[in-house]
Amino acid sequence: MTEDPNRKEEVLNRPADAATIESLCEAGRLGPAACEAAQGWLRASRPWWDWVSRSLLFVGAALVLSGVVFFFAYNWARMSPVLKFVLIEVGLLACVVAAWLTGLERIVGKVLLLGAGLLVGVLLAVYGQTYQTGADAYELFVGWAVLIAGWVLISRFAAFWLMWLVLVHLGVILYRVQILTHEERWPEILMFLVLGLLDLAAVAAREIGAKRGAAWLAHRWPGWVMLAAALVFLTIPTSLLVLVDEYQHPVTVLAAATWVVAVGAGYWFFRYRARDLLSLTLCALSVFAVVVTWIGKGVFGALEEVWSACLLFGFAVLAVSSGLGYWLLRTWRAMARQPHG
Amino acid sequence: MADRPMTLGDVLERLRAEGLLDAQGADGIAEELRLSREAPSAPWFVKVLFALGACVAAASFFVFLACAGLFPESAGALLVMGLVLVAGAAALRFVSGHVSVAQLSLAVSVFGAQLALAVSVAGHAMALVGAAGVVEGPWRDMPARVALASLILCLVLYPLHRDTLHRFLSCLLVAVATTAWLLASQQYHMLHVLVLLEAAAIAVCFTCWRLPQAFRPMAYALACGLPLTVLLVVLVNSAVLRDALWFWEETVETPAWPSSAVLALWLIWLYLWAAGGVARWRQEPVLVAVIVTVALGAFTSPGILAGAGLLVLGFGRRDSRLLGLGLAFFPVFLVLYYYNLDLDLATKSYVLAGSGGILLVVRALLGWRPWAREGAS
Repeated sequence: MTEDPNRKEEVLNRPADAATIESLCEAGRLGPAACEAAQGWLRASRPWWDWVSRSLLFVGAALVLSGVVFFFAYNWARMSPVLKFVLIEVGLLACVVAAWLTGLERIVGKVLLLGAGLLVGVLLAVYGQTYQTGADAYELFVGWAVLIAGWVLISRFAAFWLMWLVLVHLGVILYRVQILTHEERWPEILMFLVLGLLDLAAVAAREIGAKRGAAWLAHRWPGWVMLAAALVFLTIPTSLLVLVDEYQHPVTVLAAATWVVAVGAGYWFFRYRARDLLSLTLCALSVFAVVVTWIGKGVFGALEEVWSACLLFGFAVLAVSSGLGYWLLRTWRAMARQPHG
Repeated sequence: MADRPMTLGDVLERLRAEGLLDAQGADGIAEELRLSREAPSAPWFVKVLFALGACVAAASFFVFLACAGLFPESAGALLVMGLVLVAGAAALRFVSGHVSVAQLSLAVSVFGAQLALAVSVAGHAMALVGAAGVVEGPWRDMPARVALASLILCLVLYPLHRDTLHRFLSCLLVAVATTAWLLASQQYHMLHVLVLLEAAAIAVCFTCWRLPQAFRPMAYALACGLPLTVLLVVLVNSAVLRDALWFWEETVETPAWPSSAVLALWLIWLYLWAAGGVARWRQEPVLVAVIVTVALGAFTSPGILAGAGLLVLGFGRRDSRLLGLGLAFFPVFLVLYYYNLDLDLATKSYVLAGSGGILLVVRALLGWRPWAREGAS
């Protein structure tokens, strides 16, 4: 095997972690003194204060905002509506001004803007509580999402984007529950399809943003969360189409077709472009769910004896999970051998 | 160095500079790292897929045996049959692991390991059901026998069934079975002893580099088991949740403070490990962390300390799995703590906003300390 200096360089540029150093120690590559020293340096090199500071900021802000929500949820009878609105609007204004003064490039500014976004929801809730507008709950979430969309756009903050997506999801789900109250099955499939497409669009936006060098999108975890959500929303109708005859409807077929396209595009993108094994595994888990459902329906429908169906189904499940696992392992090894572009 | 994480290259370079490694050794390590990167073992999320497949298949095999009338009548025979399956699975894993490396392909190795795992899970289920009923007695004694049987199986199989996923699941089963036994036998106070054992084992496994890598699956199983045990301690003390979750009449409460004390000491020990040793206890950041931890132990739930401990370990080791566990459990315990406060909504809002405000003030004050401004480690 020929040595490639670039590959060695790539390996050495990986961040050090305790497990790798421990494996070198166990293999006898490093002596006891070297192991002790390397572990100490590794711990000392961690940016502890940055981490603690961020944690205190996030937990502290979350608690304060929860306190504000609880305070107005108490529905004070002795407090006049004007005072309630003044309190919320002053808080909202203070958050926006403080975010502006701090600057959205700093994490404190981003958290302040997120706080302002949350206070908009509190304001809408208190408005509905005071004037008994008779509006459906979905309107609150949709209105809230629309009102803060501008702030979300300029925030460059993944947590704010996720909060916004959650609001939109709640709006869509409540619209299905409160407005599309048909006896038929297709509205709930339509809801899954809309939510799945929304999450896929968010995944695509994150990938494009990250590709264009947006530093705040460098972390992969928001993409994983959104991809997992998209696949869940598309896997459910696809499995239902396979399993339950009542779901044979053009909307379900469209959702299943979207699932096929999403998984196919996901394979191509995360295998050849973004090279992300966790995203590929999420796609594989989704395929596993659909294929196992299909096999289960076929096996239990075809065989009258439950025991024989169970045995066959067990081996089929093992074959599918082994096949997908084998494919993932091979893909990972192939990706590891390819130099990063 | 402060702006980018320490790389493996940095570590090797510094070891060479300090005379702890020669040039030849550094080259050998770099080559070994390159080779291990090109043939990596399955990451945890692929193992989730394996575990899912094996558990669904095991359930199917279990139902197959029951429906085909292959289940023995007596509990003793069921226990023996389960043990035979478990032994067969270990042998299958041994054969597929050894044969495939030399002669067969990766696909056979993966399928063999999967089949061995599924058979072992089904065998465990049969053996535990058999163990539960092998001796006549009240139903409350059954969980004790199940816990004991799972412990014996784990101790015997850990060195024999050399599959990290099997080892992880086997240890997790012991932790869950022991917790279930303590709950069923209403030995709520013993939950604190279990918390102590799990916390101590986690600390040893993740902070002692001399421990062989073979113990790593056990360490991760305990890292999953600890927050679950603490969650039960919290639930036992939560009147609302206890009424919903506990089915038997007698309710024996156990105070949360023993677990809080154990976990506060555990967390302090982790701070000292992170700081570089017990001798560093006088450093201001360590002292501040200790004071905050003592306050958390005195006034909040043990779960918050457990979540914080996993976060510290995960961050210090640069281990995303431990960090993920901490991030998953910390908010749960935080919500449970405030949910369980016996206060009206208005007072709760003051407590929430007040405690959040304290955290923000603490952050602002500490941010002015010289060690914080230097980005102290």
